[in-house]
Amino acid sequence: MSCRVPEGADRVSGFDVNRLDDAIHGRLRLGIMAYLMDAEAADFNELKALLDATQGNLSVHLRKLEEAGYVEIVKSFQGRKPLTRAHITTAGRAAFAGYLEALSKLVEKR
Amino acid sequence: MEAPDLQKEDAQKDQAHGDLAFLKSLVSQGPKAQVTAGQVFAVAGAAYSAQCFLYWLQIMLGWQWPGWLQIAVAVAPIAVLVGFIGWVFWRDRNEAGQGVATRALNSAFGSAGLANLALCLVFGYVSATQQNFLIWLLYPPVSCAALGACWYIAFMVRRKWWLLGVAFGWWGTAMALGFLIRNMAGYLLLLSIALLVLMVVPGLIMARPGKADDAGEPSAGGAHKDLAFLKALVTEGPKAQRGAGQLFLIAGVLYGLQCFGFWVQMAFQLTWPTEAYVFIGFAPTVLFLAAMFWMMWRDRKDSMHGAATRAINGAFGSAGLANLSMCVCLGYVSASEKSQLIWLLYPAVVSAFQGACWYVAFVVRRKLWLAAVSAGWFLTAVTMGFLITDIGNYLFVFGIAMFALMAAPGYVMSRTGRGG
Repeated sequence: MSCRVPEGADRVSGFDVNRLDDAIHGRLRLGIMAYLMDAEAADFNELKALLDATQGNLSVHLRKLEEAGYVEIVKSFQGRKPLTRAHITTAGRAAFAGYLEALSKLVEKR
Repeated sequence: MEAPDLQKEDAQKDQAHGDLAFLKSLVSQGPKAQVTAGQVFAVAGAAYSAQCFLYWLQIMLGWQWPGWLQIAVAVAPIAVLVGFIGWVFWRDRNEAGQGVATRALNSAFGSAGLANLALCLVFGYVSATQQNFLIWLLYPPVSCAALGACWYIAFMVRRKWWLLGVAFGWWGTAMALGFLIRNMAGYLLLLSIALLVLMVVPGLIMARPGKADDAGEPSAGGAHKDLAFLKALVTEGPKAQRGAGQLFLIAGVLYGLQCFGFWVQMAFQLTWPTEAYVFIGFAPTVLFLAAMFWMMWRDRKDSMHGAATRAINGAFGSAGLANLSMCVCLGYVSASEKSQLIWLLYPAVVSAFQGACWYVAFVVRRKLWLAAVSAGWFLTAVTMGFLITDIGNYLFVFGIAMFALMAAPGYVMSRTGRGG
């Protein structure tokens, strides 16, 4: 899901859609961030099962969050199997809080 | 252009409501692997309950069992349980990654197993070296306290009141077994009934396929609640970590100093006035309780929405409650048997329960240093069992553990939780 909206839509009743963080906005990335707010760390397979995502799709979204500095990806091995684990960062926690703040402007509006 | 703008706003609003409902349902998803845990509990409870009941019958009817039957009754529950757990592991080996609530719940049950293993070594060793069967009879009450702790964590994760009832049932059983320690028949019958009521029945309830979690349908009124839920989630983890960390730091320093105080007195054979003994004996507990109640008051409005935060708080809280039940049980038996050695088992039990709760924290948070703290506590529990007749070194080891495995991790937790 993209946050691109037509020009002018950001002016409605003081809600500024541009304040929604592009790196987080999108169901899969939002899901990852919300889950990591509680769990702090999650394995790739755990996120894949939880979000019902495909391997490729989840990889792409995790990379976007990593590029934004919101999650840290640690790769290791568990026995012979590769293990990818995502950890929430302080910047990620702050960004998610900011995102919710921006969203609340829309939701709390009468 | 007013009307299209309003339409767009409504569309954005609908989307935001949908997103919020989705996120809330995602984060509040219940544990999924409880069916397996329930099956294990039902099998284990039935096997051990039958064993206790047979022993009880043997006493009541004055049976004389042949050797092979004695061995069969002693070994059968272990064989059944180990075989069943092995089969369950094999059956579920390809299960997909589990959510944090499932991990928390499984770790709670796993931690009770680890604590039991460490304490089995401690009680077995002390009982054998002291040639005192009564000490071995204290092992089941400790196991009951550990089971109470894991059901308390299950209550914290799943928020079902019957789970809290099971937890308190186990702690009540732990204390009652202490009171019945000289009444073998009553002791065995109570244990048999407790295993049936507090393990088989809850296990069967858990093993039933549960209802699906609420889908979190979007609604205008619900959106505000969903938003508040998610906002709380951002800060509650670090806040809870900070609170628990501060409490561990205080407890570790106070009780560490207490151990070293008594160790110095013993090592250098110092004679202190009575007031000094009373101060070192009671001041740490008074100061710790004051700090704990102040923190509980300070953090009384903090939320606990996330399963991970609830599980970790539950683990640390359950260790405290399990310790309390064991304090009553071991305190009573130690006083009634006039045996200081029995009371000295208490710090080893505390260490094993600490190992269990740090294990839960490790499984939930997936940080290796938490596993090291957990392993350290289990090692301390076993070491203290071996040193139980060497009071000086016993106190020294416990003092070191208090600083290295309680105060230091507490400091780290309070530092990392500052961001909240």
